[in-house]
Amino acid sequence: MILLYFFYGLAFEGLGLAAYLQLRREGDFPLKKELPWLASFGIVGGVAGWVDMFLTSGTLAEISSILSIVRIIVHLLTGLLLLRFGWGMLNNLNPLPAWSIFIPGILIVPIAFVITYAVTTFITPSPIEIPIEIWTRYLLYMPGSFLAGIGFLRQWYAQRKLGLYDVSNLMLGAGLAFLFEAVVMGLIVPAAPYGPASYYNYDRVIHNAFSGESIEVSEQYGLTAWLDYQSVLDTTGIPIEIWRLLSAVIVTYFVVKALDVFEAIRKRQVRALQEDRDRAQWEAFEAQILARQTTENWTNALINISRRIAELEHVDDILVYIVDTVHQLLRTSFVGVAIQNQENSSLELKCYSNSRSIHLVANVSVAVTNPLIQDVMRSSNSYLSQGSEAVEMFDGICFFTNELARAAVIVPLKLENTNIGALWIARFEDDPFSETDMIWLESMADQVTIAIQHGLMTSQLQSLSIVQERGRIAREMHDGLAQVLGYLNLQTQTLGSLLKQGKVEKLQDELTQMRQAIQTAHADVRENILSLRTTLAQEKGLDAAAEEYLTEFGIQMGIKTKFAFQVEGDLNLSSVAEVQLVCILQEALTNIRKHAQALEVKVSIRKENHGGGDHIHMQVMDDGIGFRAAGTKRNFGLQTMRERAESVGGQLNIKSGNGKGTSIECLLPCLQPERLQKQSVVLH
Amino acid sequence: MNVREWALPVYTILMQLAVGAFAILWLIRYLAGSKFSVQEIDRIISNPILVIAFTAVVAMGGAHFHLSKPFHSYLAVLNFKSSWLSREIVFSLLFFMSTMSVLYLTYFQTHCRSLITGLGWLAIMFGSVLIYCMARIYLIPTQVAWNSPTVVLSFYTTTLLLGIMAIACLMVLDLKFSEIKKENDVELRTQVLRNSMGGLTILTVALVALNIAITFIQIRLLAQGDLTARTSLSLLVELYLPLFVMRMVILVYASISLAVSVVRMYRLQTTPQGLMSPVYLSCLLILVGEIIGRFLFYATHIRVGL
Repeated sequence: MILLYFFYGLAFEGLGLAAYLQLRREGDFPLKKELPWLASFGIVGGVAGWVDMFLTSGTLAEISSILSIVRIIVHLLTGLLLLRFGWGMLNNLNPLPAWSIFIPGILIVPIAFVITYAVTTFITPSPIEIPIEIWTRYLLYMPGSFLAGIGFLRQWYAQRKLGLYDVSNLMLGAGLAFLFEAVVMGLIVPAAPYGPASYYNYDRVIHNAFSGESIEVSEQYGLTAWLDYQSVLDTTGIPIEIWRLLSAVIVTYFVVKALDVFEAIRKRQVRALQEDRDRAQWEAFEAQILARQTTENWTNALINISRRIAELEHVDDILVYIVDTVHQLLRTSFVGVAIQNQENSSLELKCYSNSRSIHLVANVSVAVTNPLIQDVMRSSNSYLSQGSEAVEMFDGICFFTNELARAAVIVPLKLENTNIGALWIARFEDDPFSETDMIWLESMADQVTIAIQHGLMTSQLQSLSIVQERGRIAREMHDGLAQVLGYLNLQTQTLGSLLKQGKVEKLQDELTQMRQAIQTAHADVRENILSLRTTLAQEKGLDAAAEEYLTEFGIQMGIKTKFAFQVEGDLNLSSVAEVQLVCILQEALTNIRKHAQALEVKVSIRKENHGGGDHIHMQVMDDGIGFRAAGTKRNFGLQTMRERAESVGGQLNIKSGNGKGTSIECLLPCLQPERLQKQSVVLH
Repeated sequence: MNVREWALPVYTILMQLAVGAFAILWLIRYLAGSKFSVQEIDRIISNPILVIAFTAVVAMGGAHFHLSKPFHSYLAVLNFKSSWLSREIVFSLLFFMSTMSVLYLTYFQTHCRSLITGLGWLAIMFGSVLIYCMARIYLIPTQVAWNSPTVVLSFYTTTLLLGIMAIACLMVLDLKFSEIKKENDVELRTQVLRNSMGGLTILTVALVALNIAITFIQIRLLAQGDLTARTSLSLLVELYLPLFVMRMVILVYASISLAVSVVRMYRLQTTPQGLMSPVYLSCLLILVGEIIGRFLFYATHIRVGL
């Protein structure tokens, strides 16, 4: 028996020590919060076992009364620590379901009755340590072990759900071990003259409170016959101490193994967390790349659109390009642009793109009557579908298709605080658009508005140019041809008079002057015709147009011309700049014809790099009489040439001197070719 | 008292708890009805009514263990005209049925507010008569210690004391449950409980004081009585003195502990959720104190002891 108590104490001390060592380890695994209670329970429980050993051996008989008091205290303390550990196991590792809050409320009445019953047993004649031990076991050991057992069994269930079967088996073992301990440590108590262990059995006593007599009753009920030490020995042939030793060893074995498992779980969780972190970092990195790529795509698209607008492309072509870009970048099933008609009476489809192709709607009127689009037109606020809309709401959003949209974004086209139309996108799949998609679409709507605005301005400019050109031609005719014709009219009258007077020599002189005047007028007219034709024929390319003009000029004016075009690839000049360059060349050649008396003209066009950017450099050089450069400010033709160059961001330099010929150098900035290159790669 | 005789305290204590809890709950409903919607109040008192009905069932079931022929218990009602026991059983049934009716209506016919209110007051009336019948059983001339009006008074004070603690405990638990479930009536429950706890605590302290006073009046009456009465008294102050002292200490400690917690809640402006542990502990202690009191009530008169 002494050995039994020794090993019983040793088992619990081992349990306490193992828990304490685990507690000193770093880390935060589920059982760690409960380890102080488990370690304390093990150490104090071991002490309780060894106190029993000393009491049984009788070796410390002189202090047996003190040992008995110590035994009561350590048993109470062990029970309390076990109860606290059990509660923590049940409640703290995995939160209990909400309804479990009512369990203490439901149990309050039975608990109160049990406590009261326990209290009343202290006034019976049995020694005080008997009820203390009985109620320590009933009220502390049994619920503590039971709660710990249920806590481990909950862990068993949780680990099984995670598929960790090796861990769950250990949890099952620990749970069953604590339930076994609840029986042998908590339910089996010493015999006493009251229930439930013994009351209905051999020790039943009826106490007469008036006479103080006790009557023993031998009536057996049988249901609780195994609940005291003697009954256990009679029934199993094994004393309760061996059962308790067995329970202590089993509990220690499974709990110590479980402690290692919790550590293994912690390491596994740390590993999983690291993997999750790595995965999250990689995903964030990929998302960053994607976001950067998307931003770059959109930026390039916007630059490309701006370039097309700057190059005065037709607004319809720009709209087609925008719709195509939106279609590709936002992965839409349908893109539509609608503009208010001229009477502002209805919204009409202007351009659309479906999954197959892009179409401009011309010559027919397709009214857009969808209520969502109309709402956007009225409110001027963008609309993003939330996924909760009825499918019918999207009826009339996608044209020339039988499929219905399931997600859509609609943004207004605002021109000077007035809604002139709407741009919208839709998807047939159940794949909603994001707020970011809406922001991108709004930026595209701005581009559409700018394109339309530019189209209107270009149209106005063209009308203005025609008026100005007509005025210029009128002025030219008035200053040139009309003057010559007026002069010829006067000369014919003079010739008539001279003929009547018979002054033949004088007549011959007048005729010579008239021929010279006619030749000058003829040259002006031919040059004007040439310059009009060249300016209008810009689609053939600057180099071809300039060379053709220079050749014609040389033939007509009898001046030797040389043309050198030293540009490889595209000029990368905006169309406006190309026109201005041709006009400057024409103006320079006109000046040469009229004033320079030159025999030879050299024109060169080449690409140069100035200040980190490409420029087109044109030089027109003649070997004429030249002029004094100081007086050039008042020269209208030169001033026009300078203004033309500066209007497209360029500059004009004139070098001349009397008898030294004239050199006019024009420098115009190119558009950046690499951006154009990248944009075409991304979009196609 | 042997184990079988514990059925008596089980029945009387649980039935008093049920009647007291219902009365206090209805008082709270009446008072809160002036500040909040009655429909909302009915929703938050439905769970406590369920627990009260369950308690009444357990009490009546437990009482059967005291009978030698439990299956013939229905015959007890036949002596209604002459027996307080029969009247007790009849009014127990009436209280139970009216409580069940209120429970059904609050769960399934919430619109019948007038009917619910009327049935509630009827249940309280049946419960009050039941407590009177319960106490009158013990007013027997041959049992000198019991034959006093103080017994009737002490039964009523115990009824209210247990009822207050049970309702406070149930409402705190119900509030905590609603909070965990994130239900939308947490604020309402909090306000009702906060408004009620002050009054409930004052009532608890007053009833504990009254209970102690009645006990000492009973002791004085026993001391002035005949030999039988003095013998009962000697049992109380000698053999059962530890239990008697323990009961007094428990009742005083529980009421003061509750009062301190509630005053702290009001002073620090904290929520009533923090009262869960103090209210539960006070409820448990007062329940233990009253069960010890009932044990002493029976033990000092029954010859069969432990």
